[in-house]
Amino acid sequence: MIALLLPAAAGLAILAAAPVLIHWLTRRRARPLAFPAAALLARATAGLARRNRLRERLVLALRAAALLCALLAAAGPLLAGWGASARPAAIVLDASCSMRQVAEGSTAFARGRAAAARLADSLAPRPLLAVVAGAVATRSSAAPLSTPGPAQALLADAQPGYGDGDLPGAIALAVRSLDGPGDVFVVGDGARSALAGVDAARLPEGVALHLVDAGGGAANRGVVAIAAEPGLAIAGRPLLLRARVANYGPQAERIPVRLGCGAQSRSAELEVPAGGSAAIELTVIPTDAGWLTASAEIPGGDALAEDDRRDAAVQVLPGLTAAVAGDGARGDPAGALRPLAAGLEAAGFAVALTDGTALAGGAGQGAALIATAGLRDAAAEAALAAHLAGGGAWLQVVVGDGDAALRPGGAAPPAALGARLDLAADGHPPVALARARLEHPLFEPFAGREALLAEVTALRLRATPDGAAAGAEALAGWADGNVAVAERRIGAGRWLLLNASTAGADGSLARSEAWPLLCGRIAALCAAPRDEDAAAAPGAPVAAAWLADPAGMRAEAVDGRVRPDRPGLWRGDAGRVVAVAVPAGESDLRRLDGARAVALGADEALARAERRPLWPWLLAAAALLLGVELAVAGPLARRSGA
Amino acid sequence: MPLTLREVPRLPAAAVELAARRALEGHRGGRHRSPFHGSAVEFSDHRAYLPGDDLRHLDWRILARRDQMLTRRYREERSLPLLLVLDTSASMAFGEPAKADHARIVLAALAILALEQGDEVRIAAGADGIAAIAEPLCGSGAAAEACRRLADAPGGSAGDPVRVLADGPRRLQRRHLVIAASDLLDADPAALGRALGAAHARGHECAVLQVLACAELSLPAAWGACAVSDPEGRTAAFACEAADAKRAYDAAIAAHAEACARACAAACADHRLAPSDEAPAALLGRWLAARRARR
Repeated sequence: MIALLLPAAAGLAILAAAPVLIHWLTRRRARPLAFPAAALLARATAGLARRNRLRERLVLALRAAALLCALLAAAGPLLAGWGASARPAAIVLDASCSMRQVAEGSTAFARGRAAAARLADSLAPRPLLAVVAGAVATRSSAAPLSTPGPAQALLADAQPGYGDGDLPGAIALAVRSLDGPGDVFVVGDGARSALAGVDAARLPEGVALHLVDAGGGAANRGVVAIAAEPGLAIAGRPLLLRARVANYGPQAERIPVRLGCGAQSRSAELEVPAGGSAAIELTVIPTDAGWLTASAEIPGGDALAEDDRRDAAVQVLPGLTAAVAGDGARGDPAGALRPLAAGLEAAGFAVALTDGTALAGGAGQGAALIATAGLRDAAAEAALAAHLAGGGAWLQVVVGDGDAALRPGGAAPPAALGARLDLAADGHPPVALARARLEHPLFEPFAGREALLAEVTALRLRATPDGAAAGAEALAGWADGNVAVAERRIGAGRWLLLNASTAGADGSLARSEAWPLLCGRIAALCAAPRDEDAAAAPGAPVAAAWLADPAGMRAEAVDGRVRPDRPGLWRGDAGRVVAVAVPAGESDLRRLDGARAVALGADEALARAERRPLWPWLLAAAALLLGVELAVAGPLARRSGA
Repeated sequence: MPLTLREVPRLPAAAVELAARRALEGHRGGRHRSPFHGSAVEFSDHRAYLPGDDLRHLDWRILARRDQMLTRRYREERSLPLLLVLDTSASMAFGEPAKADHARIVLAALAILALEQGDEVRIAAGADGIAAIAEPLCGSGAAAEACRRLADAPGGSAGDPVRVLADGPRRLQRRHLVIAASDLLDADPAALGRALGAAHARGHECAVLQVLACAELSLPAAWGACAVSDPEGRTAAFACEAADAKRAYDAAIAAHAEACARACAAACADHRLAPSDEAPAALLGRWLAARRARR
């Protein structure tokens, strides 16, 4: 397929008729000549006239063809290099925030979208689909279509988002849609952060990845995080806010930054090395429970404006509270709940005993820790998931089938523990704790006092050895090989598993000296310093009925979740504040190094993404035709003709 | 301006005579022996026998004595009649000056020269043959009449130069020196040879002046594209590019002139190429010198 960069110039092709016209208008009229030796002349020129006529027409044709080639070259013809293949193709357009970077008056996204549109044109004969890697990847069709219309429409309507785009996820979606061999063209800015999770070697057989560079890689600096310490903000207690500024330019820079929180603020000029970061800190003491907002700013003027200001929202709790939930008897001192609640109270928590139904109704809201034991109410799962997403901690004490079945946050670790309860009902005695990771903060107090742990016995569920399933980390184990304590981060929250019954009848755990120490460490972990960002990524789900964006436009929840899609402070009911900020990785606009780019097919794609220009060949053809014309019409030909 | 036959006003007799006399300047220094030699009664000298020589003039004595074949040559003692044949076909009007004018001047000069030598001169002209030959002219006082006859010779039609050449000698009873001026463009060299051979067989001595225009001898490439027509209508009109055709045409006309010369030689006739742009005096000088040398 041939396309023209300047189709209007093709109209000039009519000028190719100029040589014929000029020849016709200016050709010499034959002069009448009464020549006595006409017979001799006729014999001498027999055949010559016909040859001359043929030569004349050939010369005219050559001139017209040469002119046509030159004029067509001016129209910028492009040859689609992919047209002959029937391999399906997918175009993945990066719509992450880094594509908003500006260079030479246009954004990388605008250039990438134009490149993707041209690519879609040139791929047109092949089955094609497009995927836009925004906050949520969208694709033009479930499978590649022979008609490029849907893909072109999707690409034309695409807009850049503020998130990380999840390029690996979009590529995976494209690969799934191809459902076999094909080409995946990734149109992006070539930022190393965007392509960090992409591995061309792990693509299915027959699927080739091609990077199409939309340009980028400008120097950039940004506020990449605002973290709060401790992880739980308590009213009346000091809270350290730390804003981190990154410099992704080629040289170290002194970057002025201002960090503000309410009426307090602090400004400083940070010396930030090239490719590194520096932090500015501000300590505040929140007086009331509720939501505390902070922001950090640096001067703009770099490639990406969206990361020059960052907001943060921290929930300030009235105190360190824990909700202990179970569907069993709450007042039974020999049951699991009372020893658990007593231990947490001893560690400084204000404990509220509740059950699954109340937990599902919001009884655990505002608690730093939710501890469950003997919980069978599956409706509590949503409350637990929201608690974890909000940065809370969940201590899951597994004493029965219901506990094992709870799975907040998707494929949660309890599934790895097995479904069958293995208690003393069959005469199985409690087992002793055999090992613990003493370097973990949970077991720090037991360093040199391992004997305290060795005395602990309890009934437990059968679990896979080490409990190393679903990303959980085993921290302690029973003598029979089952996991005793495991930990896993779920969202911003922390999940702690205690595979042991705290009931007094089920072992020595609740009566041991180790138990208060363990509860104390649990309390410390809940309020531990966290170097995490106090802002959500654009597009991340937030459990809320509704949220209003920074401009006040209200976004209603879908399936109990709202996905705030742009940076700023989003406000919900009951004074809730959600800070949304550009993911830190989007500030890093540095491009892939050469070897990585080649590994991802960048060279090939850069060479083949654009259609091949035909004009050099046309100019060469014009020159060749003129050469032939000179040979045919020139003195050499005349000599041989005469 | 179209390259076509010009309607050139025919040279008046006086102009012909004047030009002829001017051409003769330097070629006569008083009364000479006629350059138009032939068999005569007064012995002059011997020359080597050539095949075709009249056996009557073979010197039998020398042959018998020395076994050497020599032909006896004689000096004219009486006037040698001269027949001047002018081709007036349409093709002779071509050239600058017109070939016919050039031929008239040259023939007039020869006529004057012959009349002044006391030779008898007949003049015949035609395009497609000779209808009649007027009475002979004698004496130098007849020069003007000779020029008038040449100047007034009708022409302009299609013709056959071979027939013109053949008709003149055939109508003569006596032996003559026949000098014909024609372009011989449409002449078949073989037919020309036969006609001259027949004249030679009748005892005539023949000479042919092939008058060609400069443009006929070398086709001007600058003419460019031409729509060529034959003034005598024998060849259908055609188009040609002079620059392209030049090489082939020049070779063809040279070959034709060479063929005519060979035909003349074979018939013991003298052949002389007379470009129309060559001064008549120079042509006469060359030709007369050659004839004298042959004697």
